[in-house]
Amino acid sequence: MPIEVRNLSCRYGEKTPLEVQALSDISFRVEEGEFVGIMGHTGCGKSTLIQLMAGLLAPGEGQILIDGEDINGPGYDRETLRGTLGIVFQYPESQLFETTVEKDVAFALKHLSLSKAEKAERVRWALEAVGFRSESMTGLPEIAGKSPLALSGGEKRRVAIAGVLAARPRILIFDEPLAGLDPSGRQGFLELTARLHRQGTTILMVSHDGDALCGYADRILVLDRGRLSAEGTPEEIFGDLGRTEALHIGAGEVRRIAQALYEKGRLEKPGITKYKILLEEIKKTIKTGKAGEGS
Amino acid sequence: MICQKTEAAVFFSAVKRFDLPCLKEEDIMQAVTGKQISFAYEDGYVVNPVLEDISFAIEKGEFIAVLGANGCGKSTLVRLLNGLLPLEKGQLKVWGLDPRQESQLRELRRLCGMVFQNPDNQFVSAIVEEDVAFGLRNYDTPEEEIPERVRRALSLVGMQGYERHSPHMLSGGQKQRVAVAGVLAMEPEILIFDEATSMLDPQGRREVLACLKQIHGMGKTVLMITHYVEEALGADRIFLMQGGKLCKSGSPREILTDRDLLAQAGLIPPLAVRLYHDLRDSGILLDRCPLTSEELVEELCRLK
Repeated sequence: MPIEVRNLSCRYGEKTPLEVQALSDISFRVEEGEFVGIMGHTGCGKSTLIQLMAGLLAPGEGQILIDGEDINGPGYDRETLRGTLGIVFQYPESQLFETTVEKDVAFALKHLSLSKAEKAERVRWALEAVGFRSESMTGLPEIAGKSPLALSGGEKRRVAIAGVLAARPRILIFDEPLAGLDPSGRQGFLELTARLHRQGTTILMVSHDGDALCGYADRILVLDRGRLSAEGTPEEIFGDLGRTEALHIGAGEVRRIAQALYEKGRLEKPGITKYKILLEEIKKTIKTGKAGEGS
Repeated sequence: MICQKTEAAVFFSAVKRFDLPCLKEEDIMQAVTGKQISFAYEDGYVVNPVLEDISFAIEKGEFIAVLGANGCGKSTLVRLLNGLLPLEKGQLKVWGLDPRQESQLRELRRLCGMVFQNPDNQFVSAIVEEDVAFGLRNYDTPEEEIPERVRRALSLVGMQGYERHSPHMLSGGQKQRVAVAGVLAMEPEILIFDEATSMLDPQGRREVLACLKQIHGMGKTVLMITHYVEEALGADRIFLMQGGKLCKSGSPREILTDRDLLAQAGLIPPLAVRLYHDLRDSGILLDRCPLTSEELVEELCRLK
């Protein structure tokens, strides 16, 4: 289910003094099963792009094709889109409203023709996917019976994500999902996305977290003031740190350590962006005794 | 830098302190003291204990980073400090005041201001200067003093010139700085940042952190809840919380280089510490455990 964005533009407050050009002439393609990261400075148009892809905003110009069909086309059935695409917005926890976590996660399943048992299974699966372990007594995580409003901020976030996952969308879009998660929550979330990605879900993730996107994304799109300013693998985007800075995005800590070591002659390989590779390369350099000889 | 220190000093020395003869001297030695504090949220018939028997003391002028996994009670703890949540069990003194005393609550809330996570949820007015003045008006500040206090507060956070802007048109970092200005205008002694940077982009985070350091530099007591370990590096002390308990307080080096302790609390150490341990696990031992990326590079360069 590829996504194709063609010459997309969007303006807010058109023909008023407050008119803002949020996106100008953006084109890109996301292949089925790809994991694409979207980066950019605040106000670059990331959230607008996501809302357009979800069909929540109508573009001024351009098209968004999912599986070859224009989602804003006259004959397009919006129900198809709702069933295919799941979106986790910024601060998704503010969208919790049911009396129990179980009901909240099950809400999106209401319009799907599933049996009661299937629905219950989906809820259990979704809650486990976001890291709540089921009790042997009830077969559900303990949290399922609690009020979503009584949870901590991070727990709410995970419940909100579970609510989107339960519908098993084939395309998942995340808008800043890592903000507010603790480090192990962040790790757990990234592993979850990686797992869904391996199972064939297409993933688009808006994030400021260079380390996260370098570690998991196949490709990164960079937006700058409403334009697509760069596109490439993490290595291509972060290989040259001077260019990264010019794109107004921050490189992750892994990339910065790798660069510092490379400049001091302690790493042979330039442009490392992933933790595992950094660790292996440091070991290799030390074990072959090359360290220091170059400097 | 955001503004000049001298202006800050003048600003805060001009503050008139309320006379509170009921205070004992030991109460005002510390910014905050908590003894055996417990707290539970009640949800129908279900009681969820969130804090269990927490005791601590925070010196005046200290910068404390509070770390812990989601749901460990960090936000609950800081919400008790200014009476946003009622103290049930234990004792708490905040700048000598008792949050249990209805009569002291108003002054306590002025002295202990808070900045929250979501920049969009903190505005009550359509214009920046009105928003910053909101707390002052609530506290019956004489109308003629307000413009000057608003001006000073905005210049302290580097937002002078934005008085007539709409807060909703600002960037995330700017919004948070306006929120900080709203707190500063009240001339508080203690500022609490409850994950105030977590919704921001790297630029916005740097802005808010610079602002926080500036406030700490002025001698204010600062508590910051954060998930970014690198933000905790600059703290005087870290409170590490786990499952409703304060499991350890110590210097950033003490806490953040202890991989097992952090793992127990459900946290992941800074990258430099992770690399140190992963290298050690494969037989490569550095002289000392680095805390920052710079220290790690230094240590690796020292290896023969």
